[in-house]
Formats: sequence, C-alpha cells, structure tokens
Amino acid sequence: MKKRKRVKRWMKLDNSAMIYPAIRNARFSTMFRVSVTLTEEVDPKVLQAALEDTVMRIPFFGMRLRTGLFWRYLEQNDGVPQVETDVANPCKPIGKGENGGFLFRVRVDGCRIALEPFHVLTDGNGAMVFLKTLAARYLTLTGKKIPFTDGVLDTGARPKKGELEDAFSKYAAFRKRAPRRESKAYHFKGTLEPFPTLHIISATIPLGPLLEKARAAKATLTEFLAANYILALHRLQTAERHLREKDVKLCVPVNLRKFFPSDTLRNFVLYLTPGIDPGYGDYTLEEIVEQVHCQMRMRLNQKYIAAQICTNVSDERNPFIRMVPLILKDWAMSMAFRVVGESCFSATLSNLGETKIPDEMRPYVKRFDFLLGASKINRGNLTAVSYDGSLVLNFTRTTKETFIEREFFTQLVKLGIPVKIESNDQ
Amino acid sequence: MSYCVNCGVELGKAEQRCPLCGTEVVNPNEPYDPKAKRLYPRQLDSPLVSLRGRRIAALVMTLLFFFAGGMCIFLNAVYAGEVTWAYYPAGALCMLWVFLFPPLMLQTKPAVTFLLSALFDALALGGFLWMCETLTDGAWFLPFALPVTGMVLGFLILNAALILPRVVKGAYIGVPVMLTVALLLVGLECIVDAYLSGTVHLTWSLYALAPCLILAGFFLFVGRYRTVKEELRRRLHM
Ligand SMILES: [Zn+2]
Repeated sequence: MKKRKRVKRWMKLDNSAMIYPAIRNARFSTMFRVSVTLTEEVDPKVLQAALEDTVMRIPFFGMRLRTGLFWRYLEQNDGVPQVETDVANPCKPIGKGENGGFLFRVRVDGCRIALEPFHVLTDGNGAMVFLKTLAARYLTLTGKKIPFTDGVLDTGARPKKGELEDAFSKYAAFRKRAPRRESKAYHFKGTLEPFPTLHIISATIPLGPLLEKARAAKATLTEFLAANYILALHRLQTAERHLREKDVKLCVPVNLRKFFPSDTLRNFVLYLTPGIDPGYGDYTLEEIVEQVHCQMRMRLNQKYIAAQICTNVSDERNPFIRMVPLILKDWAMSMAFRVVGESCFSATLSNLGETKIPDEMRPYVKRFDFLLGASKINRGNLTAVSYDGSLVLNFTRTTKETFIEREFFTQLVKLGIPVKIESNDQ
Repeated sequence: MSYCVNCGVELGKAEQRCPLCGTEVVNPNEPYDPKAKRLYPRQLDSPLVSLRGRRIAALVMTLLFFFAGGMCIFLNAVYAGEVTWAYYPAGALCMLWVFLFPPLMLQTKPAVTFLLSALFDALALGGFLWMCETLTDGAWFLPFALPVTGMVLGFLILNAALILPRVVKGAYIGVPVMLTVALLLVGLECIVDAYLSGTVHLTWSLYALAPCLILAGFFLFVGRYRTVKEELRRRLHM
C-alpha cells in the first residue's frame, strides 16, 4: 500500500502581517526582539529542549512563509528551530531560505535568553508570551516549579483556537472607515552605517521617579516618554536649520487587546502618530506632553479604533484587490507604505508596559529587554519595558550620531531622574 | 559606579567611553575593566548574501534570451527560406546577455567586477558591430567603430581604476571624469574627421573642451578646500 503524504497545516497571515513581507528589505526593518535575563547562566542544551516544547504549544512559530499566487501564507515547517549564540548586532532581517525557514531566532548569551521574531508572526505582546513560556519551561526543566499564570502557557496543553485567531477580522466593524492620509513627518539625517550594523543604547531607570514626573504632567508613562522623544527630535530638526520644518511625529503601537477581548498571540496592534507641528513655534516639554496626551486620548477609543481596523481589513476583503496577483500587491503595498506609512512618522516609540510573571518565577528573573530592529528608513527606534520597579529603555539606530539619545537622556537627568547607560559599542 | 562628566548619566561597568557623547570614563576609584561582562557580545551576525536569487535571475534570463533568439531564427528560416534579418535580433540578444550576465554572477571586489564587465561589454559591442558591418558589406568597423569603442573602454577603465579603489574620492572624482570627457570629445572628433575626410582638423571639440577644463578646475578647488565643500553641502543639500 502506498503511504499517503501527510497534508501540511497552513494559516493565512493576519491582516497587519500582510504588509511586512512586502516591505521587508534593507530599507525597512521588520524584526524585533524581546529578551529575559535570568539570575543564573543559561544551559543551551536545556533551552533547546524547552524551545522545542514551546514551539509545540504556540505552533505558528514552527511555520515558514510561503508565497501563493494571490497571498502569502504560513506553512508547517518540519524542521527543528535551533538555539543560537547571541551577537552584537541582533535583529538582522531573516532572508529567504535562511534560518531553516523559521521566522524567528532564539539566542542565548550568558544569563540572557532572547527571542527575535519577524513581525509577520506576532507583535510584542505575543512574543512576550512566547518568551515567558520558553523561560518558564526552561526553569521547569532545571527543577523549579512555575505555575501557568500571568501569560505563562502550559507547554503540555494543546494550542487554543483563540490564540491563533486573526483578531483584526473579528473586530472590523463595517460602519465607517477612518481616513488614511496624514501630513508628512520629519526624517532625521545622519551618517548611515554599513548594512547589518545596529547600535544599541540601553538605559535602566527606576520607575518610581519617572512615574511621578509623568503623573505631575497628567500623562501616562508612554505619553511622557513620547513627549521627551519628540522634544529631542524637534531639537535636532531645529539644529539642522531647515528652511521649512516638518511635523515631528512618532509612531506609537497600541496593544488592541486592551480594547477588544482577544487571546490572540498573533499581531493585534494599531499605530497612532502623535506629534507636534513646529510651524506654530517652539515647544516646551510641558506643551508637548499636553499635545501628545490630547492626541492619544482622542484616538484611543473603541469606536475610532474599530474604524481604523476596518480601513485596513476592507482592502484585504475587497474582491478586486483579492484577484490581483501577489507580485502586484507587493508593489502596491510597498508604494502605499512609502506614501502613507513611513513618511508619516519621524521615529517609533513602543512601550510594552509592565511585564507580569508568576510570583514563583520572580526570584529567577533579573530583567526584560525589548528592541526594535533599525534600518535605512526606520533609523531611530525607542522601546520600553518595565519589570520589578525599573524601566529598561532601548534606543536602536543605524546612524553614527547620538544626538537624539543624548538629548533624550540628558533631558531626563535634568528632571532629576537617574539614568544608567549601557551599549553594544565595539 | 562611574558617571559621564558631560551627560550626567551613570555608565555600565563595560563602557570605556560614554555611549552618548564619546567622552572617556575617568574614575580613579573604579578604572575601566576590559573583562567586565558586556551587554552584548562582540561577535557580529554575518551580512546577508543573496547569491541564490541572482543565480536564479541569471538562469531565467539565459533561458528567456535563448528562447527568443532561437524563435527569431526559426521564424525567419521558415518564412524566408534562409536566415536574413534574424541575425540582428539574435546578435543583439547575445550582446545584451553578455552585458547582464557577468554582473549577476561575478562575486569579486566591485573594482574587479566593473573592469571585467566593462571588458566583456566592449568585446560584445565590438562583435555585434562587426557582424552588422559584415552583413551590410560596409567598411566602417575598422576605421570608425573599433577606435571609438576602444577609446570609450580605455577611458572607463582608467576612471574605474582611480575611483573604485578610492584613489580619488569626494569632490576630486569630478576631476578625472571631466578630463576624460574632454579627451573623449577631442578623440571622437579626430576619429570622425579621419573617417570622413582623411584629415584631422579640430573645431567643435575645442569649444566643448573649455567648459570641461573649467569644471575640472572647479572640482579640484572644491575638493581642496574643506570649508567650501561644507558650505556647498549646507546650501545645496536636498
Ligand atoms: Zn556623555
């Protein structure tokens, strides 16, 4: 009897993931990284076993990206992802056929376990669940007892349907579409470093004094950080002496799980672009905080977000767009991204918020980090994640100059907030 | 712990200089320790190589050209009974193939790739022109086409040899380029004159020579004075 070939499992990409393969190249980075530093040295062999268990539990990590005639899709990858040693320039894009077809890397350096997914798989929150589950599984394998709470999944259980859903299509309310057009934003110049270079400046800041300052300004932590970042960018634009100054705007991802109940581990974020128009004059930090606060609040409500999701999902559902071959879609998407995407923000600020882990796990975990890959277009990114009373900020850039980072941190120091700086400088 | 005297931030133990401003850390109580645990290892992730994609492109192109050329010859032979016009498209395709194939496949230094490609390109162009001459019973290849092709190739190689290994850089690049253009024009008029009338009498190329020399001088001047260069960059930046 002939052995029948097993049918490979496959999945559609979620709505926001469709753009990433179209724009992934040296121009725009679509990799990011979350990492956890444990209190003890990590054994790569045990981690390899933990990784294999975790991929079974969150199965779309064990998939490869395939190209169909009309859309891309994820297809089961029969290989086994391998733990790698860490490098000085993480978040290098995974090229076609590299990495055994896997769309993520797991890297280990001393006490640190790092997960670097391609954005097509998941967003920061989904990646954090994978990382926490991986770390918890590792700790369990080394003899600790970790319960399955606070985003740590049981690797012995079967994957749940809700974790794999495309939450965008679920919540697209077809009432009104939000407009897409936005004003052009300032892009800073600087000397571009050769391709896989990534400069990282990492800062550790006690959460208490920073939150105090943010509350005094009647803003959330994200808004306060955004205002500081905008101020630094604004000062750079002033220093560059442009004839006509453009808007200084940030791209701020918003975790939609807070607004729509969903357990999905795939992409479920939208982007807001708060900012200032320097045409109106010079700004103080207080003024920028207020601007950012108002702009964020105005947009952050379920109705407006649903309309924005609808704008994105409706294109995917449009029968005429669906019939267009993928190669043309890619071209159209990358063109559209140039016009309404990358040109509408100066830099990115992503705050993952506080990382919650089970109390039993806390004694073994020292810190969490979050990084965004940078490239020719998205050359300056700031990420934040807090754990155990301290906030870890990571600036990634592909340019030589450190004007923005220096402005940003000296600004915080002037406000009386202690800042500790580390880097990957060679 | 050490602080940057310039920025006021605390610095990690593995930092030799402040990552924000580059100021060296000077702390007599806690000197820089090169063995301190760094935040990231020194090992670099190797750069992306996309050789496979280029090989596939080269293969697809070869098949496509071969098919198109073969089709021309076949159709010509079937309808006219002998191959007449099909030599031209087939020859042009061969030439185009030589233009495109080496840059896709060569994995050498940019300067070597350029020199080799330029040489192949000139040979292909010369071959194609020679074929055209033979087919049309002309007598222009040796006195006209060959010297022009050879001259352009020579000047290209000369410029590449200066620019690609960065012997000349920045605004200085304009100097050899402008001088080459000037010489090219003079050489062209010589060849044209010799071909048409048999005697060389320079006229129009001398008019073109003047602006080229002035521009070469300008680039020399810009390259020589840093301040001028900065000023121009500031005023003309886009
Ligand atoms: Zn400093």
